[in-house]
Amino acid sequence: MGGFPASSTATIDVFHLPSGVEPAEYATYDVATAQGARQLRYPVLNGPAITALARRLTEVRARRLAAMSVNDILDVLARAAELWTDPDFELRRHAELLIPAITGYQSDMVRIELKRYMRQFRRRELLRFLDAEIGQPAMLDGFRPNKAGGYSRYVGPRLTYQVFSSNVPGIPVWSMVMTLLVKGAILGKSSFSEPVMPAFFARSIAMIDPELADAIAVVPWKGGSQELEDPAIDAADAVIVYGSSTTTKLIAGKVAGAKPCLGYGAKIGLAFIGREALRPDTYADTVHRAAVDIATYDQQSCLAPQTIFVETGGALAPREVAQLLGGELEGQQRKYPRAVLSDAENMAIQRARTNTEMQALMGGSDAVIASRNGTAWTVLYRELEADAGAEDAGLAAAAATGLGAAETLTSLLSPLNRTINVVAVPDLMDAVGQLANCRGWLQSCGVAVDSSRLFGLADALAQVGVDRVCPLGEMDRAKSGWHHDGGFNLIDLLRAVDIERGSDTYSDSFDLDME
Amino acid sequence: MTAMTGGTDVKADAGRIKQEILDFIHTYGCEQAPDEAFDALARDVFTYQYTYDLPYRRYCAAKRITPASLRGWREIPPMPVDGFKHLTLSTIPTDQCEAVFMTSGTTHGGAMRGRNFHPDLEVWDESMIVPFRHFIMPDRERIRIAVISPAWDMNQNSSLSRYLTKAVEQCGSEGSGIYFDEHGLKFDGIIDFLNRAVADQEPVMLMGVSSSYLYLLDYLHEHDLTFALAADSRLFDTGGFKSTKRDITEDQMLAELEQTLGVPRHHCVNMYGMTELSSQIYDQNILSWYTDGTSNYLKANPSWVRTVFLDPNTLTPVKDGETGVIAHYDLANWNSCIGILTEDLGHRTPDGFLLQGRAKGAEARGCSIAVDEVISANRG
Repeated sequence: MGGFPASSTATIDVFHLPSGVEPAEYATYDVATAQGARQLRYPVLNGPAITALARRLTEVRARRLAAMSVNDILDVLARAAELWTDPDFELRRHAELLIPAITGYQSDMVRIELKRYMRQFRRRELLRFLDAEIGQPAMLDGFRPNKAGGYSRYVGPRLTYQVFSSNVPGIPVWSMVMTLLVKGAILGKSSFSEPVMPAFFARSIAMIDPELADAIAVVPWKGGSQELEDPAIDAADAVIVYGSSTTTKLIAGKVAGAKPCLGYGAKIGLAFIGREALRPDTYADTVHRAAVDIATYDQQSCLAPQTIFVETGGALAPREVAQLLGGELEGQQRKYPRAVLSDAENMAIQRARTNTEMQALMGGSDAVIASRNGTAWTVLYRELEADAGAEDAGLAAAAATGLGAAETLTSLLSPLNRTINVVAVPDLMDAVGQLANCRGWLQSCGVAVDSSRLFGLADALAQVGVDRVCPLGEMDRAKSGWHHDGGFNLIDLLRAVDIERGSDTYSDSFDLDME
Repeated sequence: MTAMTGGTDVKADAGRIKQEILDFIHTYGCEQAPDEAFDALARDVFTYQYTYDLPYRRYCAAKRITPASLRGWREIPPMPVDGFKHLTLSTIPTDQCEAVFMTSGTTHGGAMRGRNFHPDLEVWDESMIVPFRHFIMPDRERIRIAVISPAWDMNQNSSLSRYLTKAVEQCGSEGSGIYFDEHGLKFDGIIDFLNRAVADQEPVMLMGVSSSYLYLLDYLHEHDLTFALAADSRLFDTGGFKSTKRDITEDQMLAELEQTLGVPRHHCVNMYGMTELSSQIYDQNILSWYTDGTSNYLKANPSWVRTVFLDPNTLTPVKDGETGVIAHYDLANWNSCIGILTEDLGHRTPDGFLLQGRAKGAEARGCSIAVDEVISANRG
């Protein structure tokens, strides 16, 4: 089942099902890869098939996954991840061929990012992650003494339903690993725009431990198909959703009662560049790092920056930073050309450029610095005055007139695909002050400030709802163990069961032999 | 200070430019004009606008285009429609303008409305009526018209209202009327009009925005009314049935209109107009019906309007037949900008061009965020 075809065949399966599950019907779609056309095959399921599949996954989970120790599971996952570190690993080579073809991302970028990403799941990283999240991972296996004098164990979901997004290849691997570590089976809905990685990762697990991989199903279907979604949500103990805020809200609304539903919706990334990062000896690296954050996966990840605040008073003025950033983005474009965009995406960038041009024509200090012959990259420069009465149509005006969250947020957004707002600010703290009504939309902040300011800035950012502060240049690479959207990855899926203090001694009292 | 050979007297130059445009309209009408003639007039109008329309001049400077550097009309920088919202684009001081037409302004930009200033409506009126006669009235001088949208007396900031009133004035026969007031559609009047048309077996034309037809159909269905309008009757709409309130396809809508009013598809005609332009663009099916009996539903321009299709990535022309974002060059738009960059997509065919409408919002690929999403989330 789901056997991997020889590389000569043009049909590739982009799903994973437990062994013995034979769907009645398959469908295919074609992609044009660098090595010619490939046909991607997936099963066509219906509601009853989902229900049967969910039952099967739950059975396998009880028989196999629940019986394994967390260390054994971790070992299987780490060994599967280790397969991906081999450049000749067949699944990796196929992923490197298919993903650029399906997503449009530049192939070298996909190769490098995927490699880096999969390294996060090596044994030592997983151990660190588990330890960081759960003080006593052994509590996943059985009751262990707790600090309150009793005993506790953690019980994970029997079956999870997971909705994967397609924006950044490999992201689903993260929640799959998380779920398996807490001994949950996975019914994953992948996206037709990137069905490869979740299915291939499941298949790599099958190469190490086929029985464990029988607790996983990953199948693409069209989002919003109620006939499939409803039984999946119904059968699952927990739901994990990646996607737009519309998608996450829609599904969260369907999840009944106390069932955990983790939604990872749309977020805005920001970057903060302090004047100390613009000294003659530091500015080149700073600007390069910013460009990397913008170019990686064309800002499609929620981690990527959409607006960069640049402090005045450095050796380089913010306007010069904007210009240099343009040069760096041109360099990125030569090395890793951006994906080819749809008409609508291109027009969104043209519209953003026009808006800034109009501000400039109306006498503003705004400027557009952009790639010459197309939308490859765009820097939209504007200035935020310390004095809130300034002319700036963005943040300052919002603050001055008490505009609502939508206006402030809109001024932070970019149409993505390597379009960045650069906002000059007299002090980074002025910028943070404007973010007060953006709570719920903020997440990652890449910062370039010296250590005397790092914690002060992080404190201020924490106040406005930011939950991840990282070095500029590493925004798109969240570290193992990070708290995605401020939540606890494993703990949020778990239920703790306590045996309270005294239960053990009380039980002892029935022992006739006890003195 | 000025690159204009004619001097710095804006009024004199305006008079000269207007006369050139009127001459062009009368010389070429709706036939294809020679490229050299179009190019020569386009350069003249562009030079005039570059000289006296300061925001446009600055826009051209940012695009590094001047009249002296211009190699052909296709290089004239088209002003994005958003420019009509943010900038005051007028060669003549706006307090000396007879009319300002405004967009309804509900899409991007919120409360901001696009404005097109007209010092007078001489060229606008001529540019309206010549193609109207050509594309809508190829078979007759006049027809009995019922207008089912607001006319000039109700809204003097609407180019469409002026258009509808002019159509009745110039081409309406006895019994024509405006059936829309501050309370909306005057259904009783429309029913009388339709009954009389059927009784007289006289061809008539209804004219209005596409959504008016929906309201009319709702009313007629509700009251179980159908009419068999005389042959040669026609239904004129603008705006497009695709974008109207009900979840209904254009074909269903046209089928309903045929069932209810007795006007076949080949006599339903769509006009494409924009506040930012001074001319209109038409379906050719009425014209083709009366010239060679065919039904050509593709759009065509009068000679003084040229439409180009640009690659949304590079904003350079696509090959014929490929989809691109539409820019119009309308020489009658003498006071603001002759080049307009729209946000609509379309493509050219040998028999005319097809408008595909606005580019659909880019489907978000994942958990990053698009502007529309924030706006809708904060509304909801």
